[in-house]
Amino acid sequence: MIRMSHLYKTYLKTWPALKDINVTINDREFLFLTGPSGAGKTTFLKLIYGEERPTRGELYVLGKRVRKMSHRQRALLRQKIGVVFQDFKLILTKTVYENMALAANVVGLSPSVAHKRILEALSDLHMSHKIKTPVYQLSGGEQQRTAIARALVTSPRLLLADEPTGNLDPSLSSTIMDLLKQINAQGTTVIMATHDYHLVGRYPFRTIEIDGGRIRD
Amino acid sequence: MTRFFFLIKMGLKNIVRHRRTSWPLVLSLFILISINLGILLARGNINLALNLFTSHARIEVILEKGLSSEAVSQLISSLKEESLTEIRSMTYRDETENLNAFASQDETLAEAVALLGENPLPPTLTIQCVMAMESLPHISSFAQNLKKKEGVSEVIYPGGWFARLYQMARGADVFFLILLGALFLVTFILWVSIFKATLYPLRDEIEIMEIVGGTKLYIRTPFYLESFFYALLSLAGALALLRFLFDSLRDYFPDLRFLTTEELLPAGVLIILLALLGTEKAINRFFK
Ligand SMILES: Nc1ncnc2c1ncn2[C@@H]1O[C@H](COP(=O)(O)OP(=O)(O)OP(=O)(O)O)[C@@H](O)[C@H]1O
Ligand SMILES: [Mg+2]
Repeated sequence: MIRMSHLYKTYLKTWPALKDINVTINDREFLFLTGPSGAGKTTFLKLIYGEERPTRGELYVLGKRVRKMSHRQRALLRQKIGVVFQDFKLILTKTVYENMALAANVVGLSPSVAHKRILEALSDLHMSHKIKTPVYQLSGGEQQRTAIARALVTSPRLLLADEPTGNLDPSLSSTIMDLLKQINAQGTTVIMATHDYHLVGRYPFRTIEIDGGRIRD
Repeated sequence: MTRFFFLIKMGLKNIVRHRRTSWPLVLSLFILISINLGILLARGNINLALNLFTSHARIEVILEKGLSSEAVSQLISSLKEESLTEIRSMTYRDETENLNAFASQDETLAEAVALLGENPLPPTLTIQCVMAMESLPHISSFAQNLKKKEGVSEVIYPGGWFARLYQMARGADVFFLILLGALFLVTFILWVSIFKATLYPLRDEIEIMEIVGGTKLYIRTPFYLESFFYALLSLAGALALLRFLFDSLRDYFPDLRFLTTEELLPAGVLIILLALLGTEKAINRFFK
């Protein structure tokens, strides 16, 4: 599903954020990505969904070579990936529903299917009551759940979640974890970045620890 | 198809949402389009006035005194044989008619004419013709030939004057065209920069559409729709203003002509094309 070999990412030609990464992530896997702040977790995910391009090395995502993708190819790849961004990346002036409908429409879901999925996803995340609320009126945790709901609404083959529990109380956190587990069981590959070691310890999934841009064994 | 309808809906919603930021765009476009169309209107009417003016041109042929009527009809039929399409009619007046016409202008003239022993006026032939720009050379050579004909003593032909008039008109036309071109360019540049400013608060929105997998075309569509609407709105406003000014001017100049479809259609299409192209240029700035 994803293969990285001798992958480097250097911002601003200075200190590399990722160094010599060699990882293979299998289909249907659930993977934790841990490490201290600034370790390079977000960078790792950004390379996968193509927001950043690798400086050196090879990267294959869903069987496609990422390095020389056109804008359009990258867009089509992104349509198969659900991403929960660390900073949510929601359109603040639009409502929860509109934000999700946009993502659903981009991948070409019909309005009726989209509507059904949006309602389902919001109910899974206990957000149904905020469906018509503009995002700027939501709390941090509510925004985070909206971001998760948006990533799920397209039923992606690959889900990248960057600190999806960062703003949530423990009970909501475990609700989210249960949801991610369930989605993974239904066949979606999940990569979740977190620095919550306690949370990671409670699940039996493979964990990759990044520190200073390198993978620690 | 459902994607497309969604984008249309989004474009319409955006129009409502951006109403506060978009009015300077519409207003400036409205002003520029009004000027553009105003120039187009002025240009059309100058040509119209010119045509009206030149379709009543005349060549005065002064004939020799005492020319026999056979000689006159021979002259007229020889002119008719040349069958110049520009000639509308020919009017012959003999000495007496000319004198009467002269005398009837004024009472003192009439008295003066009565005192004359002998008629000093020659017979004349007036040739009414259309002096369009392209027919000027024909008529010129026609007038030259006329001078050589038997019985003709003089030809009064305002050819040089018309040539100068046409030169001026052509100069004005070129000037108008350059002005129009420059204004369209200004419209375009202004549109791009204002649209960029309008899009600036939406850069997050564009980024998000991009990041959830929207292709360039997909992301642009609602904005195209929006700018199409603004262009249409400004165009309609400019047309309404122009029509209003035109109607009030027509009270003074009843012969004024409004923009024809042949002028309006390309101008409208060009403006809308300009808006879409400007949108494209503006929005490209926000792609990563
Ligand atoms: N756009 C950028 N330009 C320059 N440097 C960057 C950029 N993005 C990240 N970095 C640097 O790369 C390093 C890794 O950043 P990254 O965001 O991947 O860390 P992280 O592991 O996600 O941290 P956190 O847990 O705090 O989210 C950091 O030192 C950061 O300063
Ligand atoms: Mg991060």
